[in-house]
Amino acid sequence: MNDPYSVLGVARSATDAEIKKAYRELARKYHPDNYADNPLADLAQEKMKQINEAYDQINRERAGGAQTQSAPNSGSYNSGFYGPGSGSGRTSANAAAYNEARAAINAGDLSRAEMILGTIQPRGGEWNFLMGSLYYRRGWLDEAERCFSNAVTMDPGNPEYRQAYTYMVNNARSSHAATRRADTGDICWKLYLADCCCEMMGGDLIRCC
Amino acid sequence: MYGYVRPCRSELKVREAERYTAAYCGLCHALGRRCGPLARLSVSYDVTFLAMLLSDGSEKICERRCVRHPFRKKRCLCGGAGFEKAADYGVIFQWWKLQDERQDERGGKRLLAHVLSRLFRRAYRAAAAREAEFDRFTRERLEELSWMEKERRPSLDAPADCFARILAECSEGAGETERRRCLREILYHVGRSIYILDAIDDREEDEREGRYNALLLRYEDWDGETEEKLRDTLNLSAFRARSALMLLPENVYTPILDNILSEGLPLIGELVLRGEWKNSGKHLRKNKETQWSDAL
Repeated sequence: MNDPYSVLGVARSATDAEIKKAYRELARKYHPDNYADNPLADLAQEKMKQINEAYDQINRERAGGAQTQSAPNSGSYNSGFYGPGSGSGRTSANAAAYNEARAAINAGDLSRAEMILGTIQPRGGEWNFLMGSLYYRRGWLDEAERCFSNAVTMDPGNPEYRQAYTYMVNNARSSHAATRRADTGDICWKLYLADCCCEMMGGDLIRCC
Repeated sequence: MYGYVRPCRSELKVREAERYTAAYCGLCHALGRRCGPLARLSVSYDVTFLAMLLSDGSEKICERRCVRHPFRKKRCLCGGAGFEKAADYGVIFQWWKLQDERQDERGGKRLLAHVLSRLFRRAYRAAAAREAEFDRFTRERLEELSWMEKERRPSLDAPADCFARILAECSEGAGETERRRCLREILYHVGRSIYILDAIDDREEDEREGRYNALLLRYEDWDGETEEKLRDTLNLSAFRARSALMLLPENVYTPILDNILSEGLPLIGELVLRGEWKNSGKHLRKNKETQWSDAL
């Protein structure tokens, strides 16, 4: 493994506080939230793992191997919110194809997902939802919005589709703030988005919204 | 080429601004050396961005004279493989863009495109001999684009994708897969932004002259909501490009590239959306970014 100090970008003589600060800065930069639905999410995750390991190693060395202060584990964070789904237009014949398409989208293999989706007929709510997810990862915001809103119209009772639609619109807005003023980082937005993600995976972070 | 991809100079450190100027000059010299003196006409901010992105930061600073600065030697960055590749790509792209204009434009612009392609032919041949694959790919994508124009497909994302893939293709030959994937993502989203910005910029003119414009087909009316949607999609692309940039190993160009993606491109996007870019005249376009940031 690389020198843990160079991974964090600090000198060997750096104080504990400096190391902590450098670690936090990097962890914020490569946080899975910033790479949700991004085709490069796996690279960011790898980077996050290296940073966590480097931080752990430095802490172990400095504590003389006696006590370890572990970095908060974000390696296992799951940024995909596409679990096995259920929706209209789903027949036993194409259920397998839908699952396969979902798996391909989650794995970042977008051309394969597109190929699978291209063969499915009839095209109901789930088809539009998955196509929207695929377009969003490519950055095709316009087509993604069209597909998600189709999915919501075809299957208004499905919370997954509705939440994906609102999530997409909100995330595009907030990325503006993140681009222009990266360092101030709007915590409220991040929390809200984290809440949205949790809700999509069945949990809840903030009860009231 | 288009000139949308440039830094916001007031936010650069002095040494970064100097390095950027030296990169621009270095690219111009690389163009001259590789493709002949006339190729230097095609130097642009967009290709400078490409050169810095493809570079590994190994260029050396040297001092040289040129036609524009015959009396005072200028600092320029020389000898990097990234710059030379970018010079070839830039010439090939410029050539095909000129061929496109020769067909689509009318009157003075058409004549200008004719004259420029005459001047450019030799440079293009030199570059295309080295990058035959990129040459073929660019030609095919532009054919696909003009086919989409004929079909009058009411989509913005599809033609933007076609255009963006040309730029993304410049990442081929970048060695290891991880680096190539990141470069691809950055260039794809920068290319997409260029296409959309250009469409917004030309919208009114195209409407008057009855020419193809993806925006006119996709959105029937131009109102606040359309503008907001385009702002969102441009922001998402800038954000994706920037996220990918952070995954690349840092070198001397990283702060400049970061400035271009997080300050320069959004700033110019905002001006284009407000319709202040095209009509702003030369005095605003020429390196007066400070005034723009004050204007916003």
